[in-house]
Amino acid sequence: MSVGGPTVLARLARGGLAAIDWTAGALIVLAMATMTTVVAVQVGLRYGLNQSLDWADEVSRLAFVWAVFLAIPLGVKRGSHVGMELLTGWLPGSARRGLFRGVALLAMALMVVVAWQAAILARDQWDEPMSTLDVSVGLFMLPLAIGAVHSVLHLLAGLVSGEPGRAVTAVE
Amino acid sequence: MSTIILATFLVAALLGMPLAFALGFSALVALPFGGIDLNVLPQRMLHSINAFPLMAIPLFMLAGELMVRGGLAERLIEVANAFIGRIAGGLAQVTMLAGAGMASVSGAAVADASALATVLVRELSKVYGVGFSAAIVAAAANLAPIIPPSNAMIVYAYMAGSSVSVAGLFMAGVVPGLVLTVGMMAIIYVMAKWRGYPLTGEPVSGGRILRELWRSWTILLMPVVVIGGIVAGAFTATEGAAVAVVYALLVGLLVTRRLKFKDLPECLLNAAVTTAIVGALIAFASAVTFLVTIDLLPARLAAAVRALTSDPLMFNLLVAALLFVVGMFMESNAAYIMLVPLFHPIALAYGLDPLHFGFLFVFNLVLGMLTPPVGVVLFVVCSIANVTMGQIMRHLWPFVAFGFGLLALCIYWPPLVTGLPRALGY
Repeated sequence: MSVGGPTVLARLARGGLAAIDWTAGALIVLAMATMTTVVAVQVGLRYGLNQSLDWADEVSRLAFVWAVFLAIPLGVKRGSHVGMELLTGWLPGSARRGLFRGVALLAMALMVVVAWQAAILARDQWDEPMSTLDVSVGLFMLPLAIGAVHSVLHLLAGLVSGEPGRAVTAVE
Repeated sequence: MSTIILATFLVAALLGMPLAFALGFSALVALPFGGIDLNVLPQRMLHSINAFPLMAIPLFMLAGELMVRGGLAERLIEVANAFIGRIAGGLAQVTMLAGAGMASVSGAAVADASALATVLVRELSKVYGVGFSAAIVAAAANLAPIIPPSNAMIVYAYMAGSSVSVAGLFMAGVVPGLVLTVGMMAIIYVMAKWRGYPLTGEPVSGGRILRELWRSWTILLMPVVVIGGIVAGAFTATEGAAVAVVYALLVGLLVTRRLKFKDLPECLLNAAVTTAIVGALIAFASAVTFLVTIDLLPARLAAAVRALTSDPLMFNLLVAALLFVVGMFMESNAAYIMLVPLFHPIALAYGLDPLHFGFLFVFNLVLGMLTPPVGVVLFVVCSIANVTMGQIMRHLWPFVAFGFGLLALCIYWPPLVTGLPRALGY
């Protein structure tokens, strides 16, 4: 019931989200390093030792899928996902913030559905092994569920603050 | 169902929802109308991303990051400087040549724009003023998706399916990319003479050229190894991208010695986040593509276009006009992902060469990155050079006009595009 209650709560929420971001970042770095190493080693083995790794394709794709789906929420955090600003650019500050909150709410609804459905699919596939490794094929679907939940958290943070991050990033 | 998807997407996008989420949201709204289970959404998303060819995108992004951190970009600029010497618009010519050099190892215009603007804009501005300097950097960076390797071409080939080879599309970009580079250097020469810009640099000397070539031969060999390997069939585009990463890593660590191991996590993370932006677009758009396909939209669109004209050239011109408008308002990756599955099959039905059509499609949208109001390369250069879009456009329009002129030439004279890939057996 203290006056500082909400501030403490907000600080805790921010700290928690930062910890999740750090963990996601570490997993992404690991996934990217794995993907790069496996593909490069596969080329090296083919030309150096005339051999190949059976599991290289599947493992590198798994690492790629993890890297992409875990990085989507970090794109939300940085405000890197490209959008049109034709209408929003003309609006005054308060109306723009209101519109951003509404859009964030719709995006949250989308990501909640994605997380929910991806989690169900991952659970349903959990007993099914990959074709080259004796690990669950559900590991392909899992990062989509995790990334969607993480995205919801960042969209919620944006909803509360009313301010999207801003950056210009693309891969053309 | 297609109408619901289109209407929802347009409203959500206009309200400022990021395009990837707007695509996903429109699919989510349409699913119940088609009586389709919600689990189609994650299924299509995973299916589209779980693809070996797409891995070339983060790997080429990573190679670009390592090049910039490793000081390879500065070395390329020094080599270009030695070749250009003391001619009209010298430093601007160096920027264009360095842009072409970077384009031959990096596949992303935004990464190149960021690197060139950071390194060169201040020096360029002292001689030419900030507007012209920013325009030159933007035009030079925009060579990246045209000269191979090209992330835009990888996305196009992936969305188009088996009828387009990534290596073939890479080769289709070589001759137009070189013509564009030389043409833009000629424009710089004329503008510099016309405006009386002072001469910069030192006269060309054989000794200096040899010295710079010797100092940077490992960097100059990189596109030969990577692109040469892909074209020769020694490795796929994805494997070539991994080779580029290892190559850039070794050069940065051992040759330029500017790269440190502690830089690597940030490079890996940046490459992943940048890839995730196009990854999100591809993932959500694949759900939309699935829904409009079962709604027979591509077939209906094909019938409507064929009713309009049976002339392949006219079809090409109609698509070019559409992409010109789309390129002005839509981010290009979103455009590839939404429009390639619709128009590529129609182009095949018209008997158009898939490499020719694919290159024209990419080139048109790449030029769109230099046209306001939505020009992503312009955004990057404006923010780094601290100029307005209007300031850049006053100097950039001759380069954009030349680009569209070259596009028209490529439409009317296909061998300019297809000659090299056909000669190489694609």
